Amino acid sequence: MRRSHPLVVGAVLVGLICILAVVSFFWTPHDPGLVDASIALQPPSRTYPLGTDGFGQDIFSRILVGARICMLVGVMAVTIGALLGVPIGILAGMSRRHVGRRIMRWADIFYAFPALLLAILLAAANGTGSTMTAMIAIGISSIPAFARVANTASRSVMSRDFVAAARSSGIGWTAIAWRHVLPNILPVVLVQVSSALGRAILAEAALSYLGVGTQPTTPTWGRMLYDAQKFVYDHPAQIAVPAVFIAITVLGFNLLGDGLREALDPRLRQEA
Amino acid sequence: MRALGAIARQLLSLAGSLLIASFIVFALINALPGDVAATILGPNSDPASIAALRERMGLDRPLLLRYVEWLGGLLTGQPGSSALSGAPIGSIIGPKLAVTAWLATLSMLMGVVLAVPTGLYSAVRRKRADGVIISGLTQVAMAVPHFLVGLVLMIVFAVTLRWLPANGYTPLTSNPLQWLRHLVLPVAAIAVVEAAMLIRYVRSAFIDVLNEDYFRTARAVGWRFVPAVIRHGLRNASLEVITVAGLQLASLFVGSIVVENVFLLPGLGSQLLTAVNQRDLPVVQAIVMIFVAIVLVINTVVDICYHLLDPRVRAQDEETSS
Repeated sequence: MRRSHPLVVGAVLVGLICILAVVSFFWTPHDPGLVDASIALQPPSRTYPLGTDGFGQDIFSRILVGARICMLVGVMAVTIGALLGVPIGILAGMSRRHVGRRIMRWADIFYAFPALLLAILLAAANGTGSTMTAMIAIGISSIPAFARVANTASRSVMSRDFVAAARSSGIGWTAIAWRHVLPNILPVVLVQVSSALGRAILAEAALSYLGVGTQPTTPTWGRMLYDAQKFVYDHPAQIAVPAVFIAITVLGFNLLGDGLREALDPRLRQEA
Repeated sequence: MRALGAIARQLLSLAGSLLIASFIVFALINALPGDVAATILGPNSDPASIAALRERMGLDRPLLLRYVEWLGGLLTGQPGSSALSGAPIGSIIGPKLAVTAWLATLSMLMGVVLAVPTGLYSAVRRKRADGVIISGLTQVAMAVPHFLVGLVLMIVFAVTLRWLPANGYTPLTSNPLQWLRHLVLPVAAIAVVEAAMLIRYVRSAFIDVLNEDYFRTARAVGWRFVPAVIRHGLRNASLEVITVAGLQLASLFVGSIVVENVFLLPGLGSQLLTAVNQRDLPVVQAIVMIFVAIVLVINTVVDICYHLLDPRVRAQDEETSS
């Protein structure tokens, strides 16, 4: 029973943020973009549950909408990374060893382009950054990790007897990849998805903070921190709310990933 | 001899990666839909000045020719000039590079110094309360972006306690004490997050070592715990620590982009953001290339260290090369 703790805590935290994101589509207590200088920097109250920011905008409403952006960028980026990285990894894992190694070398080139750098590059080439450039950049930079995980896992699947049986009965490569390799590596890929989501959300926050991702007119947690930084001297508590939400989300995905890894790897269960 | 061959192969593949990466950087800036000159001048510029800038930057010449010229410039240390001021890029980014290099290396150093003893301690005490608490704290620290740790440290140590400056920079040569005072918070911001990740690796590496037969044998034949850990544990755990720390050093150079902007350090990252906001594409292109090169070089060095340190990998090399 003790072993399932990270999984449960992670799922609860992630679920909470998902609910916030969904709720934001139907309801926010106030207009998240409504600027009213007369009510700037208010402490939490009944009308403004988490207070107001430097522009008099309701922080809670902005957190709700921010959850949406954060999940959107995270999920889309990881989808891009998995859809491109996993096939590369499977291809390399099913090839002969030295061919596979060569394929992986090419995939490793993407390691030279961390999410932040690639996003800045795309933003510069494009004139300005956008939610789209952030998604693409974070997605591409997560390709090599997916490829690596899929490569190692498929190589070990390929050495199993049932694959040898399938090959000797004349089943084609694509069918083996689809029917035998993919289903068997799915658990490992799932673990990678979870930790990649955590990393993607960290990157998204950094990009919005710098203003090279989602544009400042859209509420994002990273940009809320940027706006709050102007008030560190007089209202340092302003950074607390977005900070806590970023940490909760990433922690949730990290725990979920750890929990899944433990649940899938019986060897880890005995340890610690 | 064979080790030298392996190193030569690594260096060759580094050169290849650098070439491909430089092409990607160049292509993303120059070949994406949208005219470079129009992007630099912004949406409200008139066609005449766009044409003039195209002329001045030589943008009407073939893409491949411009790439080769740029590459040649990079190799000879003249990566072009700013589209705004016309100043040579080398003179713009030279002084900034030092700031970023200090920030990144000091952060990593502090990260390793924090992580190795803490990781070892939490491995030994993994079933006690304090070991579990350390594990929990690393989980939380990993869930926080560098810049957020930076903001919190700023609020505590600069705004509330007023022990350290909240932002700015003094060069080492003009006032070493002020230099250190300005770097403490940014370095700590990066080091805390990176150390958290490293602690987890150190911890699991040491747990593996503590369960190994050779470690039990060492204890059984009378080695005391601490010398046994140092003699048998550190060497085996060091492999993993070096790999992870090296990869982190690479990611940390990039992480410094954000932290420099939090603490207004005049480093490469701040310059990069300024150039992006000014749409100074030649400067963006050069700085991105520097970061990419740093990441690739560090990864290669880590690979080489790994080969030199791990007798198993060494043996494998000899198998494949013979």
